[in-house]
Amino acid sequence: MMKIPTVAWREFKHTALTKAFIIGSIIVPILIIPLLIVLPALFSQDVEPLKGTVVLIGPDVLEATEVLATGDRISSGQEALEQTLEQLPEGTVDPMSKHMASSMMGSDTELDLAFQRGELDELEKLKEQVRSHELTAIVVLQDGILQPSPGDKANRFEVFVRPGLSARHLEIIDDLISDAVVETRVVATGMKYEELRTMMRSPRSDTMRLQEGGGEAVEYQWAKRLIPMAFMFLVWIATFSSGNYLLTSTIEEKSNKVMEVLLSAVSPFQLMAGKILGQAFVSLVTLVMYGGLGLAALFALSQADLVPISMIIWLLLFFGMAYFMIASIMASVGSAVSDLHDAQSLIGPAMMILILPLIFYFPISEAPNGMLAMVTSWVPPLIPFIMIVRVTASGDPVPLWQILGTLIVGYGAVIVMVWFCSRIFRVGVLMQGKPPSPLQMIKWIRYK
Amino acid sequence: MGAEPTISLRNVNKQFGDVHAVRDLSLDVHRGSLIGFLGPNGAGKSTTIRMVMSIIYPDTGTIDVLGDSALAAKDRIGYLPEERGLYRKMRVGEYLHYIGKLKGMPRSNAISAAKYWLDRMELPKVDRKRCEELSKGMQQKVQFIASILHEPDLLILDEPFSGLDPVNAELLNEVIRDLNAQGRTIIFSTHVLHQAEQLCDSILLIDRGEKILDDTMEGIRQTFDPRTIEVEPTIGNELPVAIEGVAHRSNQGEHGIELHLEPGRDPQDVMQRILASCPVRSIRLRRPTLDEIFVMLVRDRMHETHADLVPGGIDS
Repeated sequence: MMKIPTVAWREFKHTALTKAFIIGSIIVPILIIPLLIVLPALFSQDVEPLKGTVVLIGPDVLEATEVLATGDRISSGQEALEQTLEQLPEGTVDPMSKHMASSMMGSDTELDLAFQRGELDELEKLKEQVRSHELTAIVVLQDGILQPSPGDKANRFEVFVRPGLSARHLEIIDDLISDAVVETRVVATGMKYEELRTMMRSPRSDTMRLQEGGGEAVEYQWAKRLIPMAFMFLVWIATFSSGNYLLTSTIEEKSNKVMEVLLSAVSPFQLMAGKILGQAFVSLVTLVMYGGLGLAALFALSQADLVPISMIIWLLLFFGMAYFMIASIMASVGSAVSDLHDAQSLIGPAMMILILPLIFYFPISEAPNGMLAMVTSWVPPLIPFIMIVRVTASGDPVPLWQILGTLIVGYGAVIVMVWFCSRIFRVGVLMQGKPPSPLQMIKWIRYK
Repeated sequence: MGAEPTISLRNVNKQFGDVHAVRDLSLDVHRGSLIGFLGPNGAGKSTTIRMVMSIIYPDTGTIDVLGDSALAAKDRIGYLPEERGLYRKMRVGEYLHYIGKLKGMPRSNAISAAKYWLDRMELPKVDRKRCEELSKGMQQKVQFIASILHEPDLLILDEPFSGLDPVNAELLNEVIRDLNAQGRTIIFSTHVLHQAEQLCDSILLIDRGEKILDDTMEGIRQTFDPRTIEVEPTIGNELPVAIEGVAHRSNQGEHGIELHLEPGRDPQDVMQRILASCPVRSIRLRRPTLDEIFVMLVRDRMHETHADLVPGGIDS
């Protein structure tokens, strides 16, 4: 029985304790953290100030020009971002990430723009001045754009910008003009723009979900979306990466012709079991590493209660189920072919299992106890991916009987899949030459 | 040679789809023997070996190895397959320890055995090298060591000499003989029949999944009578007259002209006619080589016709 651990240890050692794995899976994520800290500073340093003169042309641009010249404009994009950030619970977003997000939106861009009026018959001359960088931009407003109810045709303006003006600066000019036009319209009706804007701010909700057994829990809308996505991708990445390692290492053993030497010492089942177990630990390392980083971030933000211990237990159980399903398929495909190219046509079933949850993610995370979620939760290859979304997404908890039932069905399916795949593995490892068709692989199951 | 067989196959059959790889095969390999396991391509040798190694299982029939089931005896068998290789990135020492552990050796024993055999096979200071850094011949020797590291009672070697230069081939030959002298049973599969002829004490020949020859080398020599006379004339390279009883002659061989006898002719009678017809420097009745026996037996089964060698003695 020591043969399976021996194979597993070799598999783990030659995957996880290699430079490629350490650099790819451990060092890169670790490097990302300081980068997240450093990048915002780099971004803010890189943003060039927007300076120069913008000429406004139009029949009644006087008011708009005054608004632009005197107003402390905030772009609509930044306003939306600020609203989003403010809706997050207190302490959720640290000052650094707020800084980064706002700098990405350009709030740190230094503005030093002068606005002046121009005439339409001077347009060509002004364009020459823009080309020669004397002016930054020309804005031509359509007739009637400042009316309270402009038609679609009137509600437009043209912008001519100097060569080399960045897309970000162009966006700022667009936003400034749009905002000034709206303010001019509002002021023309006698209302105060600042008051109106304050009134237009959507109120923030603090949702409490009442529990069936009594009590209530805070409902974090953002967490409801982010946590299931994070959990599903965690399972997905850990499973997919180790499945790939398993596929390539099995193909390597076949193409290096070391397979028959191994089979003289261990049975095909022992070999497959050892390889799958070894890669399971590799997969677990990936899961713990990325999951641990996520948990550490939540602890740092005092939001650790968003991931209760039960959620981690479900994660481990459904991860195990997903891993063994994908790994057994990958091992059997790897055994049947002699190079990666041949494997591509045979890993369709494994890829389908991995792709379908991505397709179903949004409808299921929106309605974790809906019909689609309920049905797909009982389809064996999809169970782990769908269930991990459901148990982490639902403010309305998934009934325990469904979780336990899907665990039983899922692990039952794992046993069946491992058995079928070991039958294929046993024959495949000895096959040489042309890769088999999926039908031939199914026939191998019946071989004695 | 002990009485109890090391390997015993009884009515073994193995089919892959429509292909009947092994048909009703029964054989015994006796303890301490060094047996040549021969056959043309696709004869069922690899399938039989894989069944003995419990890599695959027979459809019907029984296989006993070292007095046990094939699976139970796995750790007491050493196997050097024809399709063999190494983990390219693994270090030689680590690879040997790994295979040793898979064969049930404690790690410390595997380490000391690997060191001994690397020295014995003239591969000093390679244990820290990666397998891909070794020459083909060195890799071949490492693969051989992996098959004998755990001191198996039964050793199955499939084309062990391929890729070796004459010096290393001689070294391997010597080691195989030593292992056999220690009482280990060795099955040697090859297409280079003169190697089998030199090394083995018995031969097992199969074709299309059936056993067609199973005898000691001595028995085979007695069974397959010589039908070729080698003559070296004193003058020139040709016999001056046609000799009655000679079917045809072939080009000058190593020991003179080769004369192939007509079926049923007594070689002694033909030799006397030759001596009477011209002066000769040497004349001898040549034994059939294993190559000739192999070709004859296999061709017989293919065409159901006889070649110029007739088993079972001289027709009179």
